[in-house]
Amino acid sequence: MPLFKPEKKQIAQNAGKWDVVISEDMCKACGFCLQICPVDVFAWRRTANRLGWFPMYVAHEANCIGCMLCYQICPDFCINVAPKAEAEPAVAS
Amino acid sequence: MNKLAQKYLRPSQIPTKACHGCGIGMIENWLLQAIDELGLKQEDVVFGTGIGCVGRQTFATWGGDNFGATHGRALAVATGLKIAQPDKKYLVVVGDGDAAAIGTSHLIHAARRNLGVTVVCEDNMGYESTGGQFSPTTPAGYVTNSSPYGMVEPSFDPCDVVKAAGATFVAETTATQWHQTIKIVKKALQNDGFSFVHVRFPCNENFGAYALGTRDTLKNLEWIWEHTQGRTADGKPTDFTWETGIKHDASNSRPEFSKILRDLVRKAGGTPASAALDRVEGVVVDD
Repeated sequence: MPLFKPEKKQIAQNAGKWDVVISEDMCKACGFCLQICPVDVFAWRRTANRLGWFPMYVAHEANCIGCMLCYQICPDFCINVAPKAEAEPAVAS
Repeated sequence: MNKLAQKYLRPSQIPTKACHGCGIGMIENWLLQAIDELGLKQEDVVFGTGIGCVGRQTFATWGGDNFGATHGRALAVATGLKIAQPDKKYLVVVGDGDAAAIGTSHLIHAARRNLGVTVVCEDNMGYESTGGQFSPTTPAGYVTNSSPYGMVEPSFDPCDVVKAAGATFVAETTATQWHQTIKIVKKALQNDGFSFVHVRFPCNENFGAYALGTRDTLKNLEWIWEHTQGRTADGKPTDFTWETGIKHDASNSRPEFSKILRDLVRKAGGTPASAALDRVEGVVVDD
């Protein structure tokens, strides 16, 4: 069984409840998060960061299912995944 | 930066000096998770390291107390610190050169004494910060910078050695087993005695380039994963397999070295040194 699976899964029902933040200036572009993410959240940026790498950015945050695989595998402490804060209910005017 | 790195590491040292795709950062991230899940603070843990890729990253990044010893001598420094301040947790993060080559005798005798430290041996199967020479843990037959016709010596397993020497907790994992590594490090930190955790991780710049013929980060990590599983991605058996998991667990079964020393000094009778040690313990001595 390979560690990195090429096929991406369909978006699950519990997707979109997670804040995915990536520090693009610290990213060394190893590509682990892109390859291990099962639902295609990340993508390559086309401009270099201050380290000279072409880093990842969060392209499809709404796909995130909170599996934390990217958080565990990132070797440069770049990625933070946390539940989205509940939106306050709109007050009827 | 993730929240644990903000809590425990020095922001000025991030991004780290590690090469891209190096597994040291992953393992350090999992160590932070284990420390956080145990409820330890920055001041409760002392990081100790030796020389090399592992020493360079972990010594510089940890925000609390830390020390960088000379090559292979991290455990000698840790022994003195543990005797002086026994109530702290000591996390000695060393490379394979520090643990299995130049520092082997320190490792064996620390295990024999049951010194209360946790040694995390981060093994990239060679001396990668000096250009990729072979080390005792390089798999037999693999090409490195200093073994162009293949490593002629058989590979050395430090886990077996420390287990035979008397370590009370011995485990092995790889850089592809995050949940297992976090659980193992938590158990190792809870053991009041010598704990040894052997973690293998990929090196792209030297071991990957010479032995595996690629600097592709994904292929190098996949190679580690295949040798953990015992079969390649297309189902063929690999040339060797690392057996991971807890290899020996006799946690808290033997008295710890600094405790034995303190008891002995107390029995020998009220010297200034024993009074100092008792002050550390919080015990009042009646003269």
